[in-house]
Order: sequence, then structure tokens, then C-alpha cells
Amino acid sequence: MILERKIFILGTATLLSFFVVIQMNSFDRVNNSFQRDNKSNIFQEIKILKEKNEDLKSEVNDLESNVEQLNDQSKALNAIQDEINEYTKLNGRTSIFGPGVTVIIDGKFSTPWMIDIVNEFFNSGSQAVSVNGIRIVNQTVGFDTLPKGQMLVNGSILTAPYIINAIGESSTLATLIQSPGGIFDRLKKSLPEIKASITTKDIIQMD
Amino acid sequence: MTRSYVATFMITGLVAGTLLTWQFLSKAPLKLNFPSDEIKAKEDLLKSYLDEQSYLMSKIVSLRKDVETAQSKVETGTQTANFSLLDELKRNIGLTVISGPGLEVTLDDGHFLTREDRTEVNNTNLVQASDLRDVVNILNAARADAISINDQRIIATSPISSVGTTIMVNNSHIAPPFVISAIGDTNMMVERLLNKNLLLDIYTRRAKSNIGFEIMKKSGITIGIYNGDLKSNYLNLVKK
Repeated sequence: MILERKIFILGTATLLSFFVVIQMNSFDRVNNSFQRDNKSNIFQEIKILKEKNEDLKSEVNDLESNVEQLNDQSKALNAIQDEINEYTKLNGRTSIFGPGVTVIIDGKFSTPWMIDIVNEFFNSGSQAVSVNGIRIVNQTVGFDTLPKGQMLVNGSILTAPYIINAIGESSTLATLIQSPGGIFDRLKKSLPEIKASITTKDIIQMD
Repeated sequence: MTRSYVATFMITGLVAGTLLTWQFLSKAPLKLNFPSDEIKAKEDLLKSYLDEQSYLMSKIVSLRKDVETAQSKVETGTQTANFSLLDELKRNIGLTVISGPGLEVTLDDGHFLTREDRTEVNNTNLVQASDLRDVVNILNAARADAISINDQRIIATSPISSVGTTIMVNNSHIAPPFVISAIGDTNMMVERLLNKNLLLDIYTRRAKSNIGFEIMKKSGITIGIYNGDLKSNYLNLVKK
């Protein structure tokens, strides 16, 4: 009888601690699903650096060619005009168009999510991004939260559905945004009630 | 059976159950997938890319100066090109050095921590990329003229992300402490940064001494030019 009681106590305690650890583990998983940054590894890090260095080399080549043209009197004015055209596209004061993706997100979510979504688009190689028609450029006043929880950007209140347009290599953008651990994945895991869709487009215009 | 007996069995059972469950849930590989020399080779490769990146970034800054010099020579010789427009565009996209009053926000990891374990993304004692994004966004909302993180100029297209525990700004590594410099209306920026509701997570972790977060007003700050690549090959101007 005493042996049975001993086994019973030992068994109950073992089972109890099993459930405690399982519960702790599930808390951890819930916590992880709310994390705003994705997990990656050294391979991903090497890939990003390799691509970044390729882009930097290309920029170095462009700048060297620019210096060469500027030092050649016959080509200098054209070089300056090319530079003006390039910077005008990036400036945000002139309408632009190009291929890309349109993301529509319907539902309520907080400002940090919007910051993360825009960041993820630029991280995926977008060359221009707009949110509900407002292009995000250097002069855009950052995202803000009003006392009633509404999102504000550049002095305009944003309301759902949120339409985010991004110009860039459309298939790459769509793949990266929807990849496991990507922003769509994290958003849907954290806020299952949110409806989000992505469409690739040949032409997106931003004014 | 005495109480001490019951307690001993209970504690033994609890410890045994905890250890068994931890073992059961362990995700550690039983056998290491990569030999240590392979990991070392990858670390070396990473370092070589980072060295190359530093060289290329400094080369870009130097070449932009060369472009500037060459343009000023053209400027003195002709009135045809719109140099004032070019200067304004450069200023708007972060290609000019900006100086003025501002502030420095320092975010630092908790004491005695290293970022070497690349799997601990969600450690509350480490500054996260999302913390930097939130601070930068607040500074942008307070109309900062120029922002940099550890001397990396932040422009609209600058991604602030993380790979494991490594934080990347403009896809370049940065290490703690993270110093965010901003030029603009200092009082407005400080007022926004002191609003705990806007940076709830950071203030909560600072209160628990998990991370460091300090704001310091500066009478004079200089923020250098953006030293990365500017891509616009998918962008086309709409002809008026």
C-alpha cells in the first residue's frame, strides 16, 4: 500500500511538471509569434551581404562613369541632366510609374505593424512605396498614432483597407513578402482576424 | 508515511518530470550538422564581405565628392544646367552633409550579454531592430531633418532589419551601443521620445534594466551623406 502511494505521488508529480514545462513552452511559442523581426541564420546573412556588395559595386561603377563624363566637356551637361532625372524619381515630388505589387490589408492593427510592413518592402528591394496613396520619401512625416488609435502619416489619417503599393521587381517582392517568417506570415499569425492580399502588377503609378 | 517522505517523493517526481520534458522538447541537434572548421570558414567569409562592404562604402563617399568637384567645375563654365535643382534634389534624398542642433539617442543591450548566439532573436535584454525602427519613426514624425544610426545615414528607403541577433541598417552590420543621431527641432523630438505610450516596449524594458535607453541633447551634430546605393531602374517618370 505504501509503495503504491509512493508510486502515485511520484507519477503525479512527474505528470504535473510535464504539463508545467509544456505550458511554459507554449507561452514561448505565443511570444515568438508576436515577434516583429524574423529569424534567420548565417546563410541568410551571407546572402544579404553578397547582394548588398554587388549593389555597391554597381553604384561605384556608375559613379566612376559619372565622374568620367563630367570631366569630358562634351558629355558633362548630359551627365548632370541624367543625375537630375535619377534624383527626381527618388525625390517624390514627381509622378512615377513602374511594375510592382499591391497589398491590401483590411482590419485593425497598430502603427508599429505599419512601420514594419513599409520596412519589409524596402528590405525586399522596393524602390518606391506608398500607403493609401501617400508616397514614403525622406520628406514624409513619420507614422503617428492619434489618441483614438487611428494611424496618421504626413498629416493624413489612414483608414482601412490599407492599400500599400510598391514598385520594384514584382515577382521577387511578392515572393519575399509572402515567404515563411516574412511580414505576411508574422502579421497573420499575430492578428488572425486581419485579411491581407497581394497582387503583382505591370504598372503602378504613384503621384 | 511521514510528511518528509511525501515531500521527497514529490520533489523527486517534479525534478524528474521537468528534466524528462525538457529533454523531450529539446531542439538541439543530436549530432552537429557542421564541423567547426566549416563554421569558421563561414565566419571568415562573412568578415571578408563586411571588409569589402566598408571599402565600397568609403569609395562611394569619395566618388560622390569627386562628382561634386567635377560638377562645380562645370558650373563655373556654364549656366545651362540647373544646378540649384540638382543641389535641392541631393539634399532631399540624403546626399548632402547636414549639421545643426539635435540629439543623440543611445540604445544598448543589457549588461553581460553577447550577440554571438544567433538564434536568440526575441531576447528582451537585446536591442531589437524593431526598437530602432520605432525610434527612427518617432524622429521622422517629429520632422527630423536628418537621422543616422551608428553613422549610417537613414533615408526613406533604408531598411532596418535583423538577421539572427545581428542588426542591419542599409543592409550593413551595426553593433551595440546603437547611437541614433538626429538633427531638427530638438524640443519637439525630445517631447515625442519622452512619451512612454509611443515607446512602451522600450520604456518597460528599460524600467526592468533589460536594456539601456538614453536621450542627450546636442548643440551641434554633423550627419554624413548616405553611403549606399541608390536604385531607380524600376522607376519611370510620368511625362507631363
